[in-house]
Amino acid sequence: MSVTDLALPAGERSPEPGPAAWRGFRKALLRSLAGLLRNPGLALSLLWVALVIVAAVAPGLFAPGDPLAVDTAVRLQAPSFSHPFGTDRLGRDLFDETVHGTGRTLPAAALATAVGLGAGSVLGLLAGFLRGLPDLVIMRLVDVLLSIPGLLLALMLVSVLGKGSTADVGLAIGVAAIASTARVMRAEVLRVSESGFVEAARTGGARWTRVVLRHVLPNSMGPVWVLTLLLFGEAILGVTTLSFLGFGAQPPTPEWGSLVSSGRDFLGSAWWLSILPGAVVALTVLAANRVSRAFDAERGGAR
Amino acid sequence: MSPHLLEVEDLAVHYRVRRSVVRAVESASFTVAEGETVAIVGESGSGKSTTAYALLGLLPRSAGVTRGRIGFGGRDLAGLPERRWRELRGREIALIPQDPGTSLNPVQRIGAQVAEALRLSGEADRRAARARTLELLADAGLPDPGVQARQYPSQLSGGMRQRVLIAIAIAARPRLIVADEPTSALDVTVQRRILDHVGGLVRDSGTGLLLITHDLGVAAERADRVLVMRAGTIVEQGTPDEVLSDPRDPYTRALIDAAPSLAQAPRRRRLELTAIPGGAPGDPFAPTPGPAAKAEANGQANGEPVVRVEGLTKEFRLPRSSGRPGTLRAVDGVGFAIPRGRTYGLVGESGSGKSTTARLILRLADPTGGRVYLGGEDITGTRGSAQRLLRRRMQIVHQNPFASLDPRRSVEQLVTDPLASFGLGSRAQRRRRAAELVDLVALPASVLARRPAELSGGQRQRVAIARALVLNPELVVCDEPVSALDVSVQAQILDLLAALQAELGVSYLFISHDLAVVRHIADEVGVLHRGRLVESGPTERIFAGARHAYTRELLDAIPGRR
Amino acid sequence: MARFLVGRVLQGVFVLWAAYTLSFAVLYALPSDPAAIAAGTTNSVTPEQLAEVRHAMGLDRPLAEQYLDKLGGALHGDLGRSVQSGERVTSLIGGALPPTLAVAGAGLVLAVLLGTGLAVLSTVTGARWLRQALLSLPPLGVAIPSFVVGLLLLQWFSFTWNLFPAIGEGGWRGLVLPAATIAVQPAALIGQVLAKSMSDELGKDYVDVARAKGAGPFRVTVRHVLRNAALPTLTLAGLLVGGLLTGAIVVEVVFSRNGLGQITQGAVSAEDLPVVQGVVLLGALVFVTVNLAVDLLYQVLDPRLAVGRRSAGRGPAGRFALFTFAGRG
Repeated sequence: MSVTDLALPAGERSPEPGPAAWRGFRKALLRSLAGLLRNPGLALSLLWVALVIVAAVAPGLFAPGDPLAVDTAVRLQAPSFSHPFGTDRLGRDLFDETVHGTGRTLPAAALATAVGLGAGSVLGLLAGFLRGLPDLVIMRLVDVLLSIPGLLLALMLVSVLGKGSTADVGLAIGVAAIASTARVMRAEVLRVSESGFVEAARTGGARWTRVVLRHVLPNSMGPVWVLTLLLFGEAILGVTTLSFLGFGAQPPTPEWGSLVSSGRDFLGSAWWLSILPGAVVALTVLAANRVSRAFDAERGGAR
Repeated sequence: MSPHLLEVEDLAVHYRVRRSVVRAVESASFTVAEGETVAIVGESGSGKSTTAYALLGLLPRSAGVTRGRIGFGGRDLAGLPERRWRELRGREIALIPQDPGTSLNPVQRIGAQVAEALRLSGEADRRAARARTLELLADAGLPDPGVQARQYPSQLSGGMRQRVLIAIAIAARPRLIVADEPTSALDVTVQRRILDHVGGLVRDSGTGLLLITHDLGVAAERADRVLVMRAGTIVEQGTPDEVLSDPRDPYTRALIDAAPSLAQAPRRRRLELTAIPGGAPGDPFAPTPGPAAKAEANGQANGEPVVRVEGLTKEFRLPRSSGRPGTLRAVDGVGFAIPRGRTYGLVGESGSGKSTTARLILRLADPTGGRVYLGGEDITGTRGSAQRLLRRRMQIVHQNPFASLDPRRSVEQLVTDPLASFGLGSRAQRRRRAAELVDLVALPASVLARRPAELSGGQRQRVAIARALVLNPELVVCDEPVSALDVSVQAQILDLLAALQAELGVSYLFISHDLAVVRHIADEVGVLHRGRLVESGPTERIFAGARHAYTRELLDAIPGRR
Repeated sequence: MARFLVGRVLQGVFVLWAAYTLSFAVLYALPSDPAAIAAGTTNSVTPEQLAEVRHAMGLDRPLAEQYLDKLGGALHGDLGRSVQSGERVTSLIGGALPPTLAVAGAGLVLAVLLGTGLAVLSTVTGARWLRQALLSLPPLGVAIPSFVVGLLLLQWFSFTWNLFPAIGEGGWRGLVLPAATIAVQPAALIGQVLAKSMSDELGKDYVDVARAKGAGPFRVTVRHVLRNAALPTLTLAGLLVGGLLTGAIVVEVVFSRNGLGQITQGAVSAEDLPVVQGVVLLGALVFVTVNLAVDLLYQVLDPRLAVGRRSAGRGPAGRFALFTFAGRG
């Protein structure tokens, strides 16, 4: 049993989740936990993702101070015990700012993931199921979307959606991710529908809807989990890059990308101002990708 | 120098998989003399291929020789460093691999791949290699070496690729050739020619040959000595006559019994079925028809076969980019009938159109011409819901039980899937029916809650058979149902199919590339060659005196028939 | 072959047209007012002045008419004028192209060398620790945002060690850090995909046959595996070059270099729609051209395709959908 299996409610998987099913579930859970202990990199990644999500929902938990509180007495101080990330040119605590910035970056990245995954899967599924003309039309559209480099597509959308809002940035990044998601989903649907058990279900007399709902969809969902996390990491990169370029949250609102951008002028003298928030971005993306790869490996092992 | 070229003593090879150790080879001892052909026979997982690769020092990184000695030409090869192995491979010990489809570098020309073997062994310099390559390709039996040397692997047929691999193996005149199932991926007629050729080459040059095979028939026919391997241990060795006529190990006995090609007459073993389910055709929950109705049905049946096809033709349009526009006639005017409760065997090599014929009968594809009758009723033009209703009367068992079962569903769900598709029976009724059928195909009731991944290949095929029978169909199409399975499992499945037919009166269309397998199950046989039915008739008549040349070729290709 | 070529070129032309239409739809059909931007956002603009600007820009005409008019212009190489400077979009982009090409070109060469080197070294080496160390680099390279890479390089190589200039174009020394920055992500991608592809190929039967001939690990890797493994990696090319173009935007901002990136950032900030559209079209053109080149190269490099097309008529594109996706990291 794999991690992906755990994500599905047990009731859907067997007609009656009796004590045996529950025992199996618990065994798998314990096995997953034991696997985590043997893989510290994955465990750390999961922990980091969890911390970042908590920081986005309740920043006060980690940084009770006001991120915008100015204290000119402690301007441009290097990281120390009282200011783990140092302070900026107005004496604001960079750690507080970064923690509170999570609440801007993460929701935007989540929105981007939802848009990219939602629209992309629908298009991919339609193309894969219907084949023929709809497939042709959708895939040509996807080709066109793919032909414009992702960041450029997002920039084009930002230039009409307006600047200064992280939600718009998230939306733009999400739209840019639709095409590749659609391709992956379509490939997956085709792979599953060409497999022997789908033909077996058809010869068993199953109607088209039953084949799709009972056999194709459940077996196509596996990569979606992998994809979600991969997209999420990518969306964080995209959102922070657009913010860095000055199209996201405007100062003094803290946001990861704009923090890096505003620290840029002090690179020679106060390196921590841009490097530390940048490192937080990198670690978060790294962790999301690591977890995604773990999902992928589990899925491969289950087959 | 010892009289033996190769002396393997107490060899053990272990794999490290995750945290556990798999003992692939436990204790193997055997010898190969110069000019001798020794065959190792075993089923998948017996350790025969691992033994072969250990002799070439080509074990994967996770495996290692943990014990024993590989004596070759007076020295011990076990534990030899990679550098020393490299000097031996090709020059002293060569490999003929299993699958010619994947064993050649797809982006390199044939000539270059043969020449590489010559150059690496120091057999020839760049100049001489060219001429020698052509000689070797000719020796290996390629029709036009000059042309083939300039071609890429994808432009050659499977048999020709295997000949190229033979040329590579004999390039440096090795003293020992290890052939790992050299022909199991090829059509039977090609198989025979390739084995004849290798045998000739080896005899002429005095090279030792270690032939790894799953087919006891092939081993007995080709080898001077036969070794039978099971679970990493050699359980039997001797000359073919000794092994076949007086096997000492019960496992060998079972293998001989199971091998379809070795049995002299068709074997109809009675299998006791534990349960006989009732129900009407197409609906197991309908009340069983009374004796009168049954008699009536039989009376009707006498006149009319379950399935009759006439002039069945299927053309495929070739892609326009192919350069030669037009159509490919995959099935060409095929006609036969399957009487009630009988089995019709359809035999042909890959590409002969046998699977397409099955798809046409099942109405999974539309024929270009001809008619299909099911119980006297013309079903050629049915579509929509009428076509879907046909599924209650016709079912299929696929070749590959690993692909044909949805990995996410339990056995119970899989078996009852057709019932659920047609909305037949209540939940409890379906559950009872699933238990009944699992019992019928001789699986323990505990499999009902399991998923396919937890079952062996043979168990999965039993599940697929149970699913095909759940609706009480009149016809089950078995599309190579045993060719993905080990021989001993093959025999069990064939016995099961025969017993089910005897009890349930179901008819089979049995498709296979293997005449020997068909002989054990079919009442009538049809031979397909390039889409045409070249011969058709009662099984024994065909085996006793085939009229068509192609049928005779197929018969000759069965190992053990001389 | 000729038929195949014509088909692919037509497909490319279609994609370009569709990209043009898409960008027109996004930029002009969505409710935003280019005229207001052109006239300036100050309150002093009277409605009359606005209408005048609108008329001069042709924005008061029906959308379909505007579209056909602009498309006709685009076909003649006229993409309109910049709203900010009044300069022709084509000459504006043309003038900014050389410095960007220099950075992107140097970055591409560096990325291919680093990525291939990493993959080959990790495959050939017998040392487990070295292989694991090498293979842990690509995930890192994919995860670090390129602006952070640039700033890190600046911090070390310019401010701490004073090896390379922090800003400006001055000769090759000014090119080193930007090129290195832009190369990190594509190098990581090439390394990741190629190493995976090589380890897949190493498991294939023809490798056993090559080893059975007596070939050593280096020969097996370079003569047999690399060429087979390079084929799937080649499909990344279009994506990589597109990535270089957007990478240039970030790099030029970080290193304060002139070029296409600066122009793009400026145009998006000022909502200079004709320039934005011009850059988007350039991106699509580059992508289409590179993919056409890859398709042709495939025909030469993969003998299976010449045969495969005859029998199955299937291209390589579909099989690598997931690669393509992973390639966007």
